[in-house]
Amino acid sequence: MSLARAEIEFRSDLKELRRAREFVRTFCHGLPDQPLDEDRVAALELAVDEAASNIIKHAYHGREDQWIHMEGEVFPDHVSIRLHHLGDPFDPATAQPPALDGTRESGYGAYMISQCVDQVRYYRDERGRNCIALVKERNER
Amino acid sequence: MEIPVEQVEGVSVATLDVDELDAGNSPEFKRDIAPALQANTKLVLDLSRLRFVDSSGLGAILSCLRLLSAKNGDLKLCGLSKQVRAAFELVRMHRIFAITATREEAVHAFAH
Repeated sequence: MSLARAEIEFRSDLKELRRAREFVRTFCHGLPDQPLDEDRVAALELAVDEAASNIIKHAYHGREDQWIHMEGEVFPDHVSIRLHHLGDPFDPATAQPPALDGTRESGYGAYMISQCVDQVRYYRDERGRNCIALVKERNER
Repeated sequence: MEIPVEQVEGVSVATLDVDELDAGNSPEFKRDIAPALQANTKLVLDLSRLRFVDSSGLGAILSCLRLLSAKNGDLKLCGLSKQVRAAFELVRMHRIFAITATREEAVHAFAH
């Protein structure tokens, strides 16, 4: 049972990334007892930006007339953000490792997501949509 | 995107005048920084206004370094906020760029 929940829907347009990030900040800052400190909120914000960006670029192949449905939920020990979409699924096993020596200008997205959150899961949800679920554990108490 | 460029002690300093550099405005940044990259070999990019950068923004800044390096030039960065610095560190780009706290330090680094 979640302690709080919020959702938003936005178009598959890279100009909407700002709204996705604002949703994360507003949701996290509005939670009782501030389960995530500023560094954790910033990391979750970056992970959501990269996940939404990957959906728009790769799952929807740059089409701007599709939708992404995002849900935030807070549980006693973590905050979860799920991004649902109807584009192509992503198989993380096929992702190339990032070039951390500066020789490539792209290909960091999936790596950054994995570094920013405690869990990331790519799956098909109960309504047949593809989903990226991001989990950030709450501050140590 | 406005990217004012000024001369400080003989070094060109470009100021990124936005608070977020993401996949939505990185193409615009690459287009609008191009004249400064063509006109200079030594460039400082002041990021002190920037509060958020994602992998597309990092890639765009990296492309500036690669363009300048290809003509034996260099790019130095200054004024990174905590969150922006964290993004650079996540993909080890803080090791690839010369990063200083202030634009004065970046300009002086070119002189020495």
